[in-house]
Amino acid sequence: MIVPMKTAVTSIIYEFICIVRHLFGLIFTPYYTMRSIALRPSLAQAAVIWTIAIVYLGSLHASRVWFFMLQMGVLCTYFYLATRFFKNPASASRVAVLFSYTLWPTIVWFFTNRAIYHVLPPPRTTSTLGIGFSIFFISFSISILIWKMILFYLAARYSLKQHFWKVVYTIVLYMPIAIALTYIGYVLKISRIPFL
Amino acid sequence: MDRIKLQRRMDTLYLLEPNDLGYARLNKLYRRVTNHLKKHPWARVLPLTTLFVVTLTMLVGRIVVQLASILQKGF
Repeated sequence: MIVPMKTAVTSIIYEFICIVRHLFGLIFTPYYTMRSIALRPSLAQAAVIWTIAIVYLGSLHASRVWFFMLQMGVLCTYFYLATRFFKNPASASRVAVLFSYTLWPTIVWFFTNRAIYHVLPPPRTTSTLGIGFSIFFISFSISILIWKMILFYLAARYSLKQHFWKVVYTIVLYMPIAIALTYIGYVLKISRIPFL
Repeated sequence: MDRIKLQRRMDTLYLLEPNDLGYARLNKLYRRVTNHLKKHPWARVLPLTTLFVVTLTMLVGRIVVQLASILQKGF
């Protein structure tokens, strides 16, 4: 009885350390870290990342949780089917884990935005401090978006294992689906601002 | 043991084929850009985005301020 308990605790600690290491790796060396994630995908780590996103979205409104799960489900299914289309089938778990790691920029942005919201609540003004903060906030948001794009491209590349153009075409073909989902979210008043 | 390690390392390195964009010049440009993004992308991304937003603020400052407010309220 003691041994399985010990094993469970050890594996929880191991997965937690891996998640933290991968997070820092994705910040400083995204390419090499995505490669190591693709080599050893762990569904437990993906579950933790999903849980963090769900906890945040659930704290805003319950409808955002199911909508987020729908978006992620569609995304993973699309890229899984794409790997089969290219006759290079990847395991569904690898696709899910790789795209789960692309949620980090979104999560970081969500939590930072919430912290800033409490420290400096909107609306911003056109005073020197207001403009200064707006420059900082928009620069930070665009940087996070670029980080997200890098991770998304790497996740698609390591899932599909295709050359640049095929990866780009596949992502471009996914865009109408993402836009349609965002529009549905907007119409149903689930999310007023699109998020990736 | 070393042979196994070497084999693992080779498997890691050749997990993906090198990218081929179809044109030598494009390949060169791709490698140059991705070299900057593979390690410490923030060192390049942050100054560039700051420069972009400062320029944008000088052109359409009010829109930048409004955008910051909308983004903050949105979540």
